[in-house]
Amino acid sequence: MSDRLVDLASAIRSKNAGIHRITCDVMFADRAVYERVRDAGVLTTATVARLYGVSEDAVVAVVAHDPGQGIKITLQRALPSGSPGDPDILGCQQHAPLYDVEVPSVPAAGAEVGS
Amino acid sequence: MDELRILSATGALGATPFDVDSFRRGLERDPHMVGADAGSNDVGPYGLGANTCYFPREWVKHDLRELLLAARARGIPMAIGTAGHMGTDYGVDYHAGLLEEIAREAGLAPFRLAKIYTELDLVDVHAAIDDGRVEELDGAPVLDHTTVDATARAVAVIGVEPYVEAYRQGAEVVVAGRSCDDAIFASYPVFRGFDKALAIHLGKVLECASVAGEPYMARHTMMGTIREGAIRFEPMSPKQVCTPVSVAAHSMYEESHPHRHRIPGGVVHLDDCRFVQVDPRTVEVTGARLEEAPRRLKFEGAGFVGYRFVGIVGVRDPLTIANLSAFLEYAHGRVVGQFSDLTFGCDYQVHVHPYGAGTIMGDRDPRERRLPDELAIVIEATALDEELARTVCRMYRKALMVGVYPGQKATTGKGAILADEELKGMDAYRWTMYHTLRVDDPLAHARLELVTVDGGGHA
Repeated sequence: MSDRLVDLASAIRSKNAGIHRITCDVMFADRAVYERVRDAGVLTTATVARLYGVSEDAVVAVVAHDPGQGIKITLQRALPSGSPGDPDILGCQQHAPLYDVEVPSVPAAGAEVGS
Repeated sequence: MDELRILSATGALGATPFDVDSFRRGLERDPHMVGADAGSNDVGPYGLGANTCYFPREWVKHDLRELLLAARARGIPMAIGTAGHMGTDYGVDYHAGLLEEIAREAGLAPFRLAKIYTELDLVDVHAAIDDGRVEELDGAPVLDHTTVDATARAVAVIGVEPYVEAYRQGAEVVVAGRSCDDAIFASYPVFRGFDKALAIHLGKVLECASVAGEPYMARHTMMGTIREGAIRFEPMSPKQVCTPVSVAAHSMYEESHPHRHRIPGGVVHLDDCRFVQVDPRTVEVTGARLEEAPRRLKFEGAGFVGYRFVGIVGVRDPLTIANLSAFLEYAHGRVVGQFSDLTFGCDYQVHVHPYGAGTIMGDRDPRERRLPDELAIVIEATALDEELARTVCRMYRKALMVGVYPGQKATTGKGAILADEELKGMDAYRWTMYHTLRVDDPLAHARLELVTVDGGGHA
């Protein structure tokens, strides 16, 4: 049994973090749901790199933020924002693949965000 | 004073006119300061490079008028940061000029206006490279002298200190160049002696105003309150509330890391923060900690790439869509052949965006691409010579119209064009600098000028 991340999170979004990076925030209204996703091992540097088809070096951070019940995923940009050829100047349409991440109902032992 | 109540009118002054009702509702709460963030590096390097504010003048003036009249009627300070959208010297003068115009029209009594200019002299950047005081930020390339020479304009991104100095010298209204978003709102509580870490966190959440509330709304007013040991947030639109999640989400907004917020003199740590709902509309936050570090000022620079023309070609023919790669390669080949004495990517550039066929995420898109029913191919051509940019754009677009691929059936035009003439795009710029500069003086690269604005009225 699993759920899609889009059905568990209260917000999934992306935005520039400066001109060289794009950051995705996955936020949860419910503490238990947040902890389930945090501990599921589905959002790690390796899984994010695979999802976006980039090297792990391009995944700057995958960090859980307990006080805010959110997970932040930061990627190096392919092009600095607004350079000729950059199709997403604000970086606000780069979160879509996260919707489809499958989160198992029972967390994998010992796995959590970023590990 | 036990607490300061601060109104952030809107997250982007002049980008669209802000909501006057929610701002005026905030004024009923007897604020101690009003302000707004007027700019960002978010929208690319054009405004900085071209030194222009492309927001409609009437919208910018509308927002400034609401803020100025409210501040002067109450005798409370007002601050605008990253004036004119990119915080260039022109942007500061543009806003200052509008404030003088508004003061005259409204017959305001004299007030003290501080203008803080933050444009960098490129000679100083050259010297800083030689002195080893420049560091790359977030994976920017190492800055060299050639890149500085290719820079049209650069700005230092100031923290709270120049604002605090302006208040110390008696400023009642502050219009500053490129600023850390948080500094616009944090500086007044810091000046009044409140905790700096809390003040920075307050400013960080306030900079986008209503974006920190739920449901998502832009251009509405947010009120932030600072007192000893805690900050609070309450949206001024009755349609919004703040929740622990909405405020926490904004605490990490546009940051690489969720609980490390960098400022010129250190890092504000947010990992010990607690976000508590204290009433149905208000969230209280505690726990921000400041770790001081040697002072490094961020700076940003933009350089000219070329003139730009744009072509838009719509495609509905399913055979063309199925052969998109061959179709685009044909046009590319025609352009390179036509301009065989020039170098593609050097003398001129063409960026082709086939909207509908995976252009938004490019190689990072994990979805299997299903063929769409229609496509919009946007052609972006740039060159240092304006006529060359126009001609390249036309060549690519006309080549698409007669594009050839195996099995084609349609033999009139291969595209539905929005216009046969080339669409003049704004000039293309690129970021040349996104670095930090080691400085000792907290007021380095901030030039403060205080003037009296006399609208002809009496206090």
